[in-house]
Amino acid sequence: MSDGNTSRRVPWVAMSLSFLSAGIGHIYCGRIYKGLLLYFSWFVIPLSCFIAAFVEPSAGVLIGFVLLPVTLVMIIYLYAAFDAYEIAKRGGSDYELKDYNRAILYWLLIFVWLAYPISLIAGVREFVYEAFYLPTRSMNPSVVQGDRILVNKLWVQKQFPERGDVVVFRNPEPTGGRVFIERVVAVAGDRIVIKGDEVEINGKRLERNRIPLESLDGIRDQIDGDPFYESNSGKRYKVMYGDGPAAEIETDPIDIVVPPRNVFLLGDNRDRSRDSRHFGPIHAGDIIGHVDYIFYPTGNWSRFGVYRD
Amino acid sequence: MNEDAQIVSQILSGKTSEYRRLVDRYQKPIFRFVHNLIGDQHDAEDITQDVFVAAFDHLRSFDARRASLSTWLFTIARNRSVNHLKRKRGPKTDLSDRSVRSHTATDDVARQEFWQQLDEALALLPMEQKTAFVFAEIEQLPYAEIALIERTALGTVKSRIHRAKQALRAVLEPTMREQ
Amino acid sequence: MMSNDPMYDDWINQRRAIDSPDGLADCVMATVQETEVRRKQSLLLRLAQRIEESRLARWTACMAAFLVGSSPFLYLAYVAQLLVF
Repeated sequence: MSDGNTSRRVPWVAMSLSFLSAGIGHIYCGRIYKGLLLYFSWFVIPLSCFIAAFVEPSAGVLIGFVLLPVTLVMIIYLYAAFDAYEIAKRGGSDYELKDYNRAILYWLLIFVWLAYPISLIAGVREFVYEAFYLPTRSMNPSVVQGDRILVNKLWVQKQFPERGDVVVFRNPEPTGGRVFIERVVAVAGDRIVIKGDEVEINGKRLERNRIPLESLDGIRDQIDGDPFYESNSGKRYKVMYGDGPAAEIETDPIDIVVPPRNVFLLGDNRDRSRDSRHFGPIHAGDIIGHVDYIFYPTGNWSRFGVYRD
Repeated sequence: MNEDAQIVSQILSGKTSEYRRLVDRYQKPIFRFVHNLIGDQHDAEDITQDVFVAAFDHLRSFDARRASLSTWLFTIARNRSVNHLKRKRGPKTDLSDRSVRSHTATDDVARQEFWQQLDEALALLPMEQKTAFVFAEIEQLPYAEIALIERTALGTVKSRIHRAKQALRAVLEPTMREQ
Repeated sequence: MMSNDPMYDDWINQRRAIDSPDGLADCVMATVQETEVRRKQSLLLRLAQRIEESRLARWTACMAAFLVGSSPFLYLAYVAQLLVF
């Protein structure tokens, strides 16, 4: 880079290098350890997400182990650029070149930078958490259109789904979206009978209580039907009837026993959902993950945090 | 001249190997000039190389309308040689000079001595007289061209050469008297 | 002027007779080819010097670097479903 062994450290070059990938600006200025630490900051995200996926979901976990690390990496990226600028500025003109001050190293690090965080994020998305944006109303009033949710993918490794769980699964039909989000209503071995609006599990009719609209303030504009609390083996969750073209959704009465390793899924917006009533039970292996969080709710932020029934 | 300019534009368009034609054409006068000015064979070789490499590096700044290529090369050679002499400080009589001379195969000791005295007198000349003298007497360049190279007026060049010759004659005369 | 002295003329003539050494052109050409290689390598360096000269160019370089280097964040935003392509 220079004629002799000393060279000027140019502030804007340090900053540009740091923008190209955090930490290279520091390596350029001779701070290799700090530089490498900044450079590998992205590893914070998979590590903390992995921990978050294992512990009991809570708003604190979402903020501290998912959102904070992501924000932190962004702040580190910006900090690194300005810090590198300052170091170069203070460094003066007689910086003694280290043996790692080589353009080829910078190029290599930049090249890796453009790939490694993406691989980490893709890895998190593939195995730990995947974010989804809900384009449809099939889960109103539990999870509504426009919500951004975080699906825990490690969950399926840990346990078999239970009645009342909201899961994301691969669409078994060739038409429609790649994945669906719906609620497990019956599990393997259950006998489920559906006649019109009535759902019966193992001979017991699921009880419903009308929800006063006031308690749904945040998503009032998403409620076009009659919301109910439905009770199913000790769990209580929201469902809705009377929203939309019930006739299209109408199916023949169902009376089946859910096969082993299968689950029976229903969308909470019963009259606007395409689910196990149409394509039958779903194999547990087709379940991608469990809805843990609403990290970016549509409209009102009161529903931010752990997804609650 | 036009041919030189053509070669230059070819080199600038990427045909680096064409530069050899220019080197072949001008290496003899450039080396001769440098050698005559500084005396030492090895240093002269190094400087001549530097001149041609520097000329290549700055070929883009060569302007055929302002000077011929040989004038331009002589200018670089002059500046490099002068810098070299300034760095070395003080005239230096060297042995390699004689090795050049030996192929003139003369046994005439008196002549040898006389030449040596001239060499020394030349080496002792002030820098601008020395360069002007070498350009004028050995390279036989027109005075106008020397003025261009030295970046000075024609009259100044003339007077410098005149004074250089006078200085050499001063060396010459006592020697002749001794003979 | 002094040319009436034959010994002086001889001195001038032998100085005029100096020839360039063999292989000088080869040496020059070898160095020149080397410089060519080095010049290509330092193209970035010269580009940097150009950019150095203007504040606007420096800002542009930094912003360009930011656009390239922050692309993983763009991907992150896409994965987080905040950006839809």
